[in-house]
Amino acid sequence: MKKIEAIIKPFKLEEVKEALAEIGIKGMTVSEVKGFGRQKGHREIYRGAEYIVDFLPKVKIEIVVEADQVEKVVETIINSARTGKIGDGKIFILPVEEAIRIRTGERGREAV
Amino acid sequence: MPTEKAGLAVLPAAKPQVVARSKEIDRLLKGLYPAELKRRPFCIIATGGYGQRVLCPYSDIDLLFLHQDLDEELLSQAVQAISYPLWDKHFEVGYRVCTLEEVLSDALKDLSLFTSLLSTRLIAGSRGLYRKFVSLFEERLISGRRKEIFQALKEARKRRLAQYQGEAYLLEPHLKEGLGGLRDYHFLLWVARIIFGLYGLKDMERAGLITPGEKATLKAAFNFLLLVREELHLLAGRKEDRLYFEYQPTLAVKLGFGLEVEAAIEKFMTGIYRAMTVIREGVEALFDHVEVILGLRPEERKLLAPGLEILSGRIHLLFREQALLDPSYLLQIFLFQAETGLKLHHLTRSFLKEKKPLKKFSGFEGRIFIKLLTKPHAYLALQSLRDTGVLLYVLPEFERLLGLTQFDVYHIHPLDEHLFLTVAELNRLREEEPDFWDLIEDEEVLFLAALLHDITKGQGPGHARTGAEKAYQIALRLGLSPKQAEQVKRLVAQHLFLVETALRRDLTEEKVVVDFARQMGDVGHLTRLYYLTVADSRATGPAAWNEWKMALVKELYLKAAKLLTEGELSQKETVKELLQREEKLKKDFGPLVETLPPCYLLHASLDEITKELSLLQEYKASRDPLRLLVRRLNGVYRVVIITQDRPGLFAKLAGAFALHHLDIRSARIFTLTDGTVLDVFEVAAPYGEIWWEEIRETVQKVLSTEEEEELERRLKSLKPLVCALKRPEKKPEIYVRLDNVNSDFFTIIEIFAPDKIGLLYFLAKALAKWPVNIERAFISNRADLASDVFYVRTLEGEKVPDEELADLKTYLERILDEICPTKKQHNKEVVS
Repeated sequence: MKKIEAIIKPFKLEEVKEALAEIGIKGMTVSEVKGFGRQKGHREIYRGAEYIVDFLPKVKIEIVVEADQVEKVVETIINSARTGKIGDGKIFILPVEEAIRIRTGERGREAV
Repeated sequence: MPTEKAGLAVLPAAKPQVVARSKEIDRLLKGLYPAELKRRPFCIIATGGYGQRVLCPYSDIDLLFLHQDLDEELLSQAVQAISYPLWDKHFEVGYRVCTLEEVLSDALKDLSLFTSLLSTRLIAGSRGLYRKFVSLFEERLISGRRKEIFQALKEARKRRLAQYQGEAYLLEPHLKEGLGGLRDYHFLLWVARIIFGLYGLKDMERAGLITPGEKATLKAAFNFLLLVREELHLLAGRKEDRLYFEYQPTLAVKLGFGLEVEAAIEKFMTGIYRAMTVIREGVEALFDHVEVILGLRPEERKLLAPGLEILSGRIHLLFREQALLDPSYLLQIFLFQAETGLKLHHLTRSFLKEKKPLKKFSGFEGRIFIKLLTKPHAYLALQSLRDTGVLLYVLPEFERLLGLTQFDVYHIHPLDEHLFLTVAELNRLREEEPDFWDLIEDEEVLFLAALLHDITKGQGPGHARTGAEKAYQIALRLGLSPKQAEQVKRLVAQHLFLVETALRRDLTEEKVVVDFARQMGDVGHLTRLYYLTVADSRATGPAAWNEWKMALVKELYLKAAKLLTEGELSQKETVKELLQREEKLKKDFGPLVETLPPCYLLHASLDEITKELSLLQEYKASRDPLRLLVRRLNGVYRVVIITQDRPGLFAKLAGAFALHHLDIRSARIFTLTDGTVLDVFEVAAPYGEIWWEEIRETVQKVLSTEEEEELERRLKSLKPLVCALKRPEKKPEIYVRLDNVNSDFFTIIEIFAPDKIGLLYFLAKALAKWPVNIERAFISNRADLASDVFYVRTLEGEKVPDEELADLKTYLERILDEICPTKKQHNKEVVS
């Protein structure tokens, strides 16, 4: 089992969600996050005042899937989240030791 | 004004069940009374909820076993004989065994014991003992302690609400302990009992403490909550007093609010909120009144205006008859509230709750109402308007909204409350974020739109659209001008548009922001919408708003505001013009207009644009690689070139013009979505005449066949025309300046260098190699110096990243050195 964490642009969330639903991904965790990488924050100067955004708003998606699904999911996220511009985001893949469904106590594949 | 809080009177009630249940317990207890204690100083007293004959299925049965010097053994046998059978029947029994002295001294220290003893009944046993208890209780625990008890109750209520008033309790209310819950109802009765010696609502009405209408609504509200609690206990199978989401569907359907679950829940929860509001308003008004009576408020009187005064820190109406005849006098009360933040005096509140205004409200009074919305304490005034029922005379549309639930986890407040809070948030924003407030232009428009933005919510889809129409009518009725009403309408229609665009679109796309700004039209409307958006979101609930969303909303606001005040759309009437042009051109050119880049339609007169688009159509219909159009305008030539985009195109065109000694004054590069390029140059000819056929040939040749080296060779060997010969420069100045701040979508490159044949070509070529796309160029020649300003973006359509700026600058300086090898005097400025 692997956990896929993707940081994407906020306005791409719907597209990514739909694309993932199409390949049969049934659940995910979505959070509003802030940060920066190569794309730094920005400054807006309006009427002489400066408005600085250091941490850019992004969306983080977390999905846990079987190892054999990882490639498909990653490809889907890339295709749906890409704009070609800087700040499109990143994808991280992490090993998952175990998954347990709290309600039933099921473990492993069934619990995901 | 009678508050037949829409529908409250028809809510179902639980009185029969709960009374029957306590009667059953009464019977049981009477049967269990031990024979050996007959005619002994012992009695069973019902206290608390059981004392009031109000028992829900899993309520505790609170008993007091009162005795006088009875033997311990005998007592414990008796208590066991009574309580064990009850336990066997699964009743939760809470009891206390004590003597008169014990219970009285305990109750002096324990407020909850004290309040449970406020409603007692003798179930069985010594009547004499019970009477003694009642009279001693009155004498020792109430007389002379009224003020002290009131303060203790007030504190207790505050503590309780601190625990049960959080945002989570709005969606899943606690029927017993929550704000306006059953406990609050009891507090109301207790205070009336302790302070005024009144038992129950009927007494309170007779004493004039509440109005007949209020009595009816309070009773209905209490009985409804009791019924829900009854059903909730049965459903949960235990003593559950909180109305969790999981219980709401079943209860809503079971209690007859409809069969379609979601609609039923909304109606059901609306009933809950209305009931709890009635109780809350009742208890708070009574508490307030008591504070005045007990002298906890200063006694001073102060005249505010003719017929209005401050009495004990409350607004008091002096001319009662006039209030009913003169709506503007009536609304003055609330206007003063909004200005001062003072509550209504009890007498004024009761009067207004009971009486109906005799005259219809007109636009003139409407203006007073709108004015009060803009005042700092508008939220308080709105609450009083709702509580007294006057609100419905000004805005009958609110009747439907009272307590109306919105079935989602975002909206934690009922609709009327949400709208009031939006107004309150605007008032807070005026203090917290004053930066753009002066751009609002018309506060009244903004505040009225805030109050009305969800006016048709819950009446089918598209509430922004339908609400806009309704808001327009209301605004006119309340006395706004048609122009203001139109502005209110637009705000309501677009109240979700800003946040949706900010969250769902790419704000680094120029087109997104330009299109948005265009729909806004002017910075006044944009700013009003910005404040409305923030206020609406903050009034919705914590899930709807945070710093994260704020960052995106503000980014869009600032970018659009800049376009509308400093950028391409800043000229007055520009947006109107743009829309008119678009409409007109769409008729002639159809979908072609959609493929044009933002702001294209504004770069020249409509006449020019029409010509260009005709040319574009021709180009697309033909297979020609190139279309060229030349017109003489104000002493310069306007050259339009349409061709397929390719790397270095702009440089080549600049080179071709240079070969003919044409001075490029400005250039705009428009790239269409299909990769066609439409370049517009303004060029000046040294002798005023141009042989265009030759130039067309050159351009064609340069674009199609000629190698770069050949073009460069020719440019380098070209000698300046005699008329263009200039004095040798004294102190040639060269600088390159990069700016990532002043435009939201472009990196601006400014180059200052000695004018030289082909300069533009070499610069453009260098930029294409970096690579960046030149999208706009402005060139001016001053004496012997040229200043070139380029608006560029990376091939992906972004600004050049900040960290690349320094390298790009060095690169351009090196290129300039090669073109004009002079002693350099580089200015070390990079703005990023």
